[in-house]
This record gives sequence, structure tokens and C-alpha cells, in this order.
Amino acid sequence: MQASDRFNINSQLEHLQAKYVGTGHADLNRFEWAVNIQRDSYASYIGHYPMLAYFAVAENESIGRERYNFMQKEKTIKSCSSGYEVKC
Amino acid sequence: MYLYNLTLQQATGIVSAINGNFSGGKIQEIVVARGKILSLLRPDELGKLQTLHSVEIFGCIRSLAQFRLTGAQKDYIVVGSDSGRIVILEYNKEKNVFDKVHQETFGKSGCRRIVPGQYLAIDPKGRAVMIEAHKSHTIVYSICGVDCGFDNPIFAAIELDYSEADQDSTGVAAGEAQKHLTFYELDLGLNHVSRKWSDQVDNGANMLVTVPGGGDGPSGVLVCAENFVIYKNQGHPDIRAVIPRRADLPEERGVLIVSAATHKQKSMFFFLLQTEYGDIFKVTLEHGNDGVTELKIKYFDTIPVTASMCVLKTGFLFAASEFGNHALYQFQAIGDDPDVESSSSTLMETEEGFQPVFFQPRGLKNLVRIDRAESLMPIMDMKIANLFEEETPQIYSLCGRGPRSSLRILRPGLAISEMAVSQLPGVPSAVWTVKKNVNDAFDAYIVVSFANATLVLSIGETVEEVSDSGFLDTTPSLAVSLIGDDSLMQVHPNGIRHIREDGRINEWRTPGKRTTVKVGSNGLQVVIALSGGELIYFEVDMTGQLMEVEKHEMSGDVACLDIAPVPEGRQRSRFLAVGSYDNTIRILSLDPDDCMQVLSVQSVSSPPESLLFLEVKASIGGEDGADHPANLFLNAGLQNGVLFRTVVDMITGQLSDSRSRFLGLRAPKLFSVKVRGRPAMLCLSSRPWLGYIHQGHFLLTPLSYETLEFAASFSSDQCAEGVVSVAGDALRVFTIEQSDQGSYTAEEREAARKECFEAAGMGENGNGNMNQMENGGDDEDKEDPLCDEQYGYPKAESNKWVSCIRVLDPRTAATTCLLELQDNEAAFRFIHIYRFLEDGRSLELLHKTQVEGVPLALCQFQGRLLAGIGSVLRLYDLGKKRLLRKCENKLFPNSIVSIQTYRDRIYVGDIQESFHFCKYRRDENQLYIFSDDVVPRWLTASYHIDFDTMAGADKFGNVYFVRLPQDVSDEIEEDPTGGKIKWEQGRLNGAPNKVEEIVQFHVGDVVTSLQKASLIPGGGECVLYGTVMGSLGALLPFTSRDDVDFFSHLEMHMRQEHPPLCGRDHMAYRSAYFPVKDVVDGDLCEQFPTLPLDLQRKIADELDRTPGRY
Repeated sequence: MQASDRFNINSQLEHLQAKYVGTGHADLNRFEWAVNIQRDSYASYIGHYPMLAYFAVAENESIGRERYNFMQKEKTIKSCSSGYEVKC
Repeated sequence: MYLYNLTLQQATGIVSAINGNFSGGKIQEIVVARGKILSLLRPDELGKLQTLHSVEIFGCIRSLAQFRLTGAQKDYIVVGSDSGRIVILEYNKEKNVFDKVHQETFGKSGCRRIVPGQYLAIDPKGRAVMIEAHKSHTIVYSICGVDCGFDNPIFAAIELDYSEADQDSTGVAAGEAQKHLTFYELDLGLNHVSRKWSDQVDNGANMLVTVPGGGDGPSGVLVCAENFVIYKNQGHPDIRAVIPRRADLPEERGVLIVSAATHKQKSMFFFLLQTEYGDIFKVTLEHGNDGVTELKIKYFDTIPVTASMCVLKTGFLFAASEFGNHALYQFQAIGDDPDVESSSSTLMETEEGFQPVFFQPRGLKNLVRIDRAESLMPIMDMKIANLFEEETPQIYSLCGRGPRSSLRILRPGLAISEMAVSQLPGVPSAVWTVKKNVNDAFDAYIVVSFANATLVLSIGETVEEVSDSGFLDTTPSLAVSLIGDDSLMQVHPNGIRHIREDGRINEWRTPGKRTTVKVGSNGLQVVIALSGGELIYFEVDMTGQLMEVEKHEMSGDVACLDIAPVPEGRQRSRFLAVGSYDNTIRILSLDPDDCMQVLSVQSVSSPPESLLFLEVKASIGGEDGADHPANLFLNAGLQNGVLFRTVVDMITGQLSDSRSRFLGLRAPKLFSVKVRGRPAMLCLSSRPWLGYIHQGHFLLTPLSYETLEFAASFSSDQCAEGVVSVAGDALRVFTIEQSDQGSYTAEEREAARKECFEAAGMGENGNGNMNQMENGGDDEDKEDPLCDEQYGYPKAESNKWVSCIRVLDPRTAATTCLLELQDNEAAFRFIHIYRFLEDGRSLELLHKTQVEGVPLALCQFQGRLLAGIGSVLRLYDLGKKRLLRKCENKLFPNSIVSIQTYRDRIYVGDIQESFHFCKYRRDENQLYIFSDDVVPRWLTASYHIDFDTMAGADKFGNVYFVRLPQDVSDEIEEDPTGGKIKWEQGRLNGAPNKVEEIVQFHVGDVVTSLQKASLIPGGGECVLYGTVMGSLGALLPFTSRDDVDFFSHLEMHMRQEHPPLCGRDHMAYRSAYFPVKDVVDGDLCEQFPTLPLDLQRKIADELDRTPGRY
């Protein structure tokens, strides 16, 4: 394999990472990986209405409130910075 | 094991609803998304909601929007789904289907973070649609179109950029992250989108509402945020007003707008915004040349929390409740009366923030409810049991939540609504209705026959007995009908009485001592059968006289007769069907040239009791569904309870394509009725059934009604399509409700909420008609004068609970025992032991045992109690003062949510890690896990199928079966240590043996309960499931390899020829989380009759079959 090819693959990967959030890379730490999964999970809960309704019943909130809570930065962003210290 | 998945009752919950004129013209219609189903509803003039069309799209609908092209009269539907495609649909009212106008692929399938589809926004002039733009490191909260007349379309979005927060490990940036309102402009000339304007917005912002612009208003958007509504527009200062709060709302809780509707007239517009507590506010804007000057929020009314609201131009409000029944309200007023109001001009800012405005919810003032659409959402649990000792078991389901929860008893069958029941002087044997003239819309008489008399009732304002009708009342009747255009016929044992319109009466007497036994007639032709087997055929001639035409001697007594209906434009029908006691049905010709010739003979399994020709007219679709060629069906009710149906060739009279179905223990009697103006068949066996056409299918569905003896169609100005029937000594008039959703009817019972619902000790301790349930809710104050159903319980502080246990008698719908748990005690921390008293009618607390976690699962096992407490499985013995710990196993991964036992095996379901098969060894007093699953499954429901097999459902909407391989199972049973030595070794951080997945299927909805049951007497067992969206489905095992082959091939062809409407790949959908295994999707196969005929034929050819007439 020539050096230029390798460069190509890398640049392709970079392109993928820029385009698709959550595409992994070699230096991904455990925490970033977990944050990605968490955000993906919330996105999936919001997208799948029955699941959102299921959580809403469990928490005794309205579905609209549940959706709001899942998107607020306490859940999606802060989880990232607060745990950043313990990266491993 | 191969299974066939079939939805028994379509989902009733609503994800999103839009309104518009989808069929064109002025009729207001509503399109609702019910998860994976798209339906079109129309409120009729009386305000009754009718479902016109309903289609499963095999995908997950996330958003809906409607748009109208400039100058057009018709709205189109845009669907955002998980297909990675945007689809534009048009309702085709001729064929009653949604036609796909356009489909554009933009991304991967599935509900993913990086694929758009969650939000849709429409340019108010119908020039552009936006699906949310997904930039990396940006969260989009809401989007909407901005009304800017015919300038370039502009869309607004609430966005949050978190790229800085991700880089900053200290959390400062995350704390400072700010939501922005961004306007995007589509340059129509350059076909290019540019970011036009962006401004900071309140961090609680969650929803955008378009404000009318152009000539109608000030343009811009309303930003709904927690506690506030803010008007924003480019180059315009923010106008902010606070949302009024309920006075009893705890301080830490905000008020969030969850749904919005806009009403726009020529001269004015206003918005209705609903909060998460159900209160609706009317928002109005004061505006002039210099923009918006004031924003007012006025309390409007309170209705249950909705997922979507639609204001119809006809003055209705459709409220799609997020849980529980949906409702249609009519506007009485538009909130012009003074009420609690908050305004931007009186907004006060103090040191603690903005000054709140308080209000008290009150009764409805501006709205009045006129109809409701049933919703079972969410089915939290269900049990199938035959507590009423009927032919088929009932389904007891716990639906809804909080104050709107209910126990509903579901029965397979169409709902009927009883209009009148009246007692008769004797026990009637038969009933008919007749019109006076063939052109009359309504019936004139109800004629009831008794053993030795006939009673005539005239239908008018009231129904009363008359004696001047001309009918002979001193004899029983065999048939009463309209004959010719305007004369009446009464057939009695001694002859025929023909009553002319002018009152003249012609009497025909039977020859000799013979009596009439059976009659068949169709309005122009009459055939009577005399005792001994002689048939006499009469026809109505040109002058209206009834003329004897032909006689024919049959070989034996006639069991039943019917004449086919007269084809349109003809003088007579050609076919007479005669059933004999020698187990045959003969088709005789009535044509003059071969009169009484036998055209064909069909032998049947038992003597026929009743015959009915049912003609299905050719239709070219229309609101009833697919194309049908004209067909004549001969239906026969046999004495062994079987309904036999065969196709009659319209020319030769040959019989073909016969089918039979067991209906009940009594010989079905068949009657012709009308359903939606089309011929249908009522079959009275030990329960009534209705055969009718619905969306292109011929359906034979039981009615939820008691056994009937005899019936006739009934039509009066109060009830256009009713049925009059006799049963016992009562005359009953009822109508059949057209339930469009499916064939389940619910009977609502006492409100009750569930956590855990057990049909208590079915069979075991003999209290079969009892339900025990634990309740959990968090209402605090029950003295509220307003009904909780409408207003909701007041919100309590967090960690406050109120729970109760209720024992219900389903027959009387009465609570026989209600135990309220005191002192904020919920269904956790303790295991309570109760004793049944008074034959199971009430409960008595024996003792409480404190446990360290939440006991989510309890099960009796060998006279002891197995409890799953957190991750611990524990065996308790019943002590005098408390439960006594006997044995425990702490090796479960997370939390035990289900326990089932069979012999000495224990099947434990973990909340996250699927099933664990355990064994209890009494001699060593040990519980150990000998087998587990390799797949993480977030269990929501489980059911024990057989010794080695468990069925489970996970929270992502999958249903699966796992089975312990036979050799492993044998080994464990034979091993004296029960696999104990092996267990100590373990494998893959778990148990030594692994179960195998044998069935896997993505339902697309969270399944909350599973149960095995047989719904047809004598039929096979199937697994029934109930879901959060309020649907019921069944998984039926195939019994033969041939069926599996046929259905999997049909499914394959259907996938190819009839791909799902919203662009999702069917196979990918059913395999959304795990590849589908050994399940044929019946919902797809059942769409076969809706295909165009040539496509049906093509698929049938490839399967070496011929398409059925139905």
C-alpha cells in the first residue's frame, strides 16, 4: 500500500467523522464513546413515540414534557462535561 | 416454530394529527398518524367522527404536515418517517386510498440522531417544505415556516450549538450554551438556502408557532418556552408574556406548552396553546403598522392533554389525547368573555424573576364535547380469561393512566348499540319488516309471528299495534314481504295472503290437507314448499297478480329455500336453492324454458337449516375499497353450526370455491341486512355474526350481543340501518356500530391504574371472577370539585405517592374492596400479604415484610413465594408475623422484572438482560441459574410458552421467543446434580448454557403484555399482545409446512409488488433491531385484496393459485 493511499483513507475517515456524528476513531476515549451512545439513545427515544409514551407513563409526565427533558442540555450536553474528568 | 403476525385491533393512540381538505372541496378532514398507521377521519354533519381510510405503512411516522398549492382546493400530506425518505401523499377519494405523489430519499433509514425526519415545516404558501437541517453539534428543538407572503420562503428553527461545550472539559461552556432562533431563507431564484438571521432565545424554548403574515398579520413566530410565550421576528423587539399557572402547582414546576393550533379567519387570527397540564390558552396579538405591540394569553378551557389539536373551519376542535380517548369539541365561544389573562404589557420583572399570573381551572365554557374516539392507549397490562363463561374469552385490559385510566373488557366482535327492547305477550318465533311501497325509504310494519298468531306493529312516531293492515292475525306466519311494487304478501301454513295496495285481498289456499312449510321469495318471485316435498312456484305478473307458474315434486321434505335477488333490469332471477334433509343443496332453474331443472347439486356435511343468496355488486372502488366483480354467493347455515359459502356461477348456476366456517353450537339462520347501503348477511347461531364488506375484504365478524332467534333489517327515520330481532319474549331493535379500527369492542369499567395486574389464582383457589391489582398514582388531594378525568390530578411534589389496591367484580363493575396505602407508601419497599375474604370479594392484610429494594416480580412456587427484589431472587415462606427468607440468588445482572415457574424450573426475566432459566434444588436448598440468553433484551413483557420456551418483548418493540435446546434440556433433567457442576464453571460471564432465539419480530410498538389464549372455541392457541399505542395483535403458529411456504412466498411477492406507502423497506422494518426470524407478517399479506386486480392475478399465478373473489 502506498503512502498516498493511506492518506486517502484517513481523509475519507475524517470526512465521515465530520459528516456523521458518532463515527468512531482510533483515539476515541471511553467517555466520548459513552456520550455518543447516550445522545443516540435520547434521539431514538424521541423518534420512537411508543417508547417516549412508555417513559412518560413511568415518570408520570406528559409526553411533551418528556421530549423536552430528553433534549435539554442537562441530559445531552452537561453529561458530557461533568464526566470529562474521569476519562480513561 | 413459524408464526403469523396479525394485528387484531389497530393502534388507537395518536402521534400527530393535521387537518385540511384532503379529498378536495369544502369538507374538513383530519389525517392522524397512529405510530405505524395513517388514517383519514372525517367528522360528519352531526359531529360524529368517521374513519374513511386507514393504512399500515410498515414504518414509524414521526411527523405530519399538510400543504396546499397556491390556488388549489386540495391539501397534500407530507410524512416524515423513519424511512430516510420524505413522502408526499394525496388522498384519492375515488379509490379511497392514499396515493404517493412524490418520494425523495435523503438519508439512512431508522430513527437516528443524524438523519432528519423528526420535524417538518411547511411554507404557509405551499411552496417549500423543510425537514430539519442536521448540522453536526447542533440540537434542533422545533422548526416552522414563517409566513412572509410571496417573498422568498423563510423557515425558523430553535437550535442549540454544543460544539464548544464538547471541547470544554470544565463544563463552563456547557453552562453557557444558549439556544438560538435562526431564520433560513430559501432563495427561489438561486435555489439555495442561506442563514438569514439568528438571535438568542430563552433556554426553555421548545416549540415554534407560525404567525400569519402577508396581508393577514404581522408575520414572525411565537416561541413557546417554559413559562413564557415570546413573539419574535427579524428586526422586531421581543414581546414576552408569562403563561398563567395553576394556583396549586408546586413552585419548582414549570409550565410547558405541548401542543398548539392556529385559527385564522379573514379578519382575525388566534392561537390555542395547551400546557402539559391540559389547560388551553388563547393567545392573541395586538398589531399595527409598527409591528406587534401586545401579546395576550388568556385562559380558555381545560381538556385532557393532547398530542395534537386541530381547529376545523366548521367550528370543531379535534383533540388527539396523548393517553385515553380522543375527543371532538364544538366551539361555543372563542374566549371573548373576561377571564384570567396575562399580557406582555403588564409583565412585571422582580428580583426573583418574572411575576407569575395564577388561575384556577374551571368547567368548560368555550368548548362542548360532542363526540369521542376510543383509545386504549396505553395498554399497561391485559389478561385473557373467560370470567363471564361465554363462548370466547374476554380480554381484560388496563388502559390509560392517572385519572383517565380504566379497566376495559374487550370482546371479539362488532359493537352494537341497542335502541329499544320491548316485551311481547308471548314467545315470538319470527319477525319481519315490510315497506308499503318499493320506493319507500322506511319500513311501514314490523310483523311478529307467534306459535298461533301474528302481531302487526306499525312504525311511525311510535311503534304500536294495528289491526287494519290486512294481515291475517289468527295464524302464525312463515314469511311476510313486499311483493311486486306495492302489495304485501303473508305466507301462512294454509296458504298465501296477497294484500293489494287498495286493500283487496287475494287468498291462495294449499291443496288438500297439506301445509306450507318453507318459503323463499325475492319481491317478484315466490316459491313455497309444502309438506311432503312439493314446490310451487309463483311469479308476479304485469298487473301485480301473483300467478302460479310451476309445480315440482322433490324427493323428500324441503329443509330450506331461497331465491337469488333479481338482477337489476331483469324480470326474474334464475336461481332457486333448495336444501334437503339428505345433506344436499340443489340449485334449480326458474327460467321459463327450463323451469325447475336441477342446475347443480352440492352435498354438505349436515342438513342445511337456512339458505341465503348474497349478491355483491360490481363496484369500481369508491369509499368502500377495492374493485370487486359482481358475484353471487350462496350461504348455507348447516345444522352442525357450520356456515357454508360457495360461489354461484351467474350463468350456469354451477357451484365452486366452497368454504366453511364453524360459527357456534346452533344451526346458523341467515338474514339479509344492509350495512352502509350494501348487502350484508346476519348469521344467528349461538351468537350473532355479521358478514359484510369492509375496505375490500369480506369479513365475518361476531357481534357483541346475546343469542338471537330471528332478525330482520329495520329502517325508520330514527335509524336508517338497524336490525329488529326476537330473543326470548322480547323484541329488540339495535344498530351495528361500524368500528373501523378492528373488531374489538371495549366496555369501560371502573377507573383504575395499574402497576401489576393478576387474575388472582385462576382455577387454583376457585375465585375465578376476581381481579387483584395494585395501583400507583401520585394524586394527593381528592376533594377537588372538578372531575379529575378532565383536569388531571394536581401535581404533587416529587417522591410523593398514593397507591391503592382494588378488587373488582367485573360482572357488576363494582369495586368490592379498596385498600388505600397510607403514608406515602407505594408499591415498593414492602411485600404485603393479603388474605382473600368473602369468597374472594375483599382482602385482609396479614402482614408486611420490609425488603431492601423494589420487588418488581412475585410468583408462587411450590407453596412458597418467589420474589425478585432488585437483582436478588429470593424464596420466602409464609410466617405468622412476616415472610421468612429461605433461599436466595444474588447473581442476576440488573433487576428482576418477571418470574414464571413451571414444575421445578423458574424462568426469570431481567430488566435488561433477557431471560434466565433457574432451578431450585430442595435437598440443597439452592437456587441456581443454569441457562441464560446471549442478547441483551430490555424486557417489557414475558410469557411462559412451554417447558423449554419463553416469549418476551423488549422496549424497542420486538417480540421474540427463546428456547433451550432439546439436548441441553434433557441433559439438565437427567443430570442428578441438575447441571450444578457445570454451572459453577459458567460461560461468557454467565450461565453455562445458552438459550436459542427461535422467533424474532419487530412489532414497531412497545409490547406491554403477552398471553397465550384461544379466541375461537375449538380453535388453536395463539399468543396475544397488547401495546403502548393501544393495539392488540396475535401471533398464530402455523400448523403445516405448506401454509408456511405459501405465506412466506406471498409475503415475498407482496414486499416486491406492494412496497410500504411511506418508503420504508418492509423487511428492514421488521428487522429493525434484530433480523426477523420465522414470522410471516400477516398485516402485509392481508393487504393483498387491496391490490389492483391484475397485480393480484400476477401474484396468484406465481403462487399457482387463483385469486379469491374476496
